Amino acid sequence: MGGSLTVSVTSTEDPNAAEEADLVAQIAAGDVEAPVAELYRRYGKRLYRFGVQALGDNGLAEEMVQESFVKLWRSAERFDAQRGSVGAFLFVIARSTAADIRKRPSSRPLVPVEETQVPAQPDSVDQILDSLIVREAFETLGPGHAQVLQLAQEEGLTQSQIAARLGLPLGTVKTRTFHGMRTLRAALVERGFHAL
Amino acid sequence: MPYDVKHVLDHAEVAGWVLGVLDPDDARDFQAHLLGCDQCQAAVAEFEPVAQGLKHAAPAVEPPADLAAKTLAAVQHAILAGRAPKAAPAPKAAPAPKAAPAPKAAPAPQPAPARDAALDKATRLDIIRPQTGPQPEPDRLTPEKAKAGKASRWWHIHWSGPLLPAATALAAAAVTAAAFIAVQTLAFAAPAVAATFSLQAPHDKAASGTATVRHHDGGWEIQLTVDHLPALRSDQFYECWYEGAGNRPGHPDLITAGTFVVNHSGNGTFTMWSAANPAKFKTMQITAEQPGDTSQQGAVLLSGTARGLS
Repeated sequence: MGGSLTVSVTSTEDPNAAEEADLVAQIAAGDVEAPVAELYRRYGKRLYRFGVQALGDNGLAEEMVQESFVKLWRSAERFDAQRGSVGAFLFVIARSTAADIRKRPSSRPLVPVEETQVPAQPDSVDQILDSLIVREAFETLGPGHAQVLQLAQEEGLTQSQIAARLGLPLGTVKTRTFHGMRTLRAALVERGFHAL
Repeated sequence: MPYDVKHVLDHAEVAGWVLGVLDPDDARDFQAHLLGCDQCQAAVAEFEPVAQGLKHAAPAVEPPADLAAKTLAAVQHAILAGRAPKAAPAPKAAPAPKAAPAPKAAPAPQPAPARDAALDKATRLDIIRPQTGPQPEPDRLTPEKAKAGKASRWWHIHWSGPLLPAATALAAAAVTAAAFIAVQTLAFAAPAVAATFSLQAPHDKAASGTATVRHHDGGWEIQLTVDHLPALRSDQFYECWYEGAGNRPGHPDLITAGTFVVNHSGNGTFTMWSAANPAKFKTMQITAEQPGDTSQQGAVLLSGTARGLS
């Protein structure tokens, strides 16, 4: 295996693309600390969440993030901004790293011999991407909208229960839920959520 | 199909309907309304995939606050081990019977297929964007901080006692490495463990620690984890020591392995570097110290004896 990493060429225009490509170029040139710190600031949480979803373990997700940035350093010279964004480059690395970690015997949970189980298969990359999109879109909501949706979705409360919990009129809960869903939908559209 | 927002807002139950959280009376009334209202039907059609997506949203997990530092340290460690991006080998294993096999250089990421659907999404649809909002700043590595001997995360080494002349060459290399290694590192293909320490507190049962020591070309790497150490004054810091067999009051036989500070819970994991061979300095101690006298002044808060010496 050799040659450059192939990344999808259908890149969006991204004002940060040139900036991030420059960060990778700095890493390739040996100036590591500040560019790695900045790229971590931009992508670390997303990569970590991907790792948690892909590997099902916080510790392994941490390992994946660290190894991904080491691999980024090792392959920085081969990054070609014409072929794709730094974010996609990192994501490809993370996906490969997660696959490697999954294969390691040390990554498998210790179970007694008599209780062998088929390890749970991780969600597909596409499913994980979708779940990350939704989480990040949700995090753009204002607190009022986020709160009512979270109580509805995660705690299964009825709207009158939500109103009682938050000390709000029922009508307010209804309209916040409505506007929250509209705002969330717009955020998902912006992020290319495939189901819309 | 676009819908009349003003009309649908008069029937804001539509969102609760899609989420399945309407109270029974509202659900019954809205269902009856929905049968004859194409505006609300359009709104339901728009909201349903949103509700489905919400059911499968990734958990709102946050990375550990120290992951930034760990990540930077991992890269720095790889640089030190590999010396050059193209070589990029993992640290060499010590020549020991139980040494791990020679580590392979990490392979380049697998080339993506020409049309990887998930990657198309990531790239074309720009979901991978820089994060906004306040992010924890990674600690800044500066040799100056290490040299200043301030009570900080930055560990330093100093030598005392009879070993100073013999350790000078190793200390120089170790200090250079120390200036570029952050608090926590990841050993991708670590040498075999040379010794472990289980650190116990003589009085404070809550405090504890473990240390794993691995031999590298330049000395011994110590991976130290401590839990529930007591809070210190702002001018104090913790120091890790190796104690030799001859250590007694007035006749110290100690080598420092480094200094550190812990988080507000009294916990932390640190990587340190020492020229002290755990086979000869078999006791590890943690004390609380302050700048000034470089000898061990504080009471021993944790201690343990080397096990599994190889």
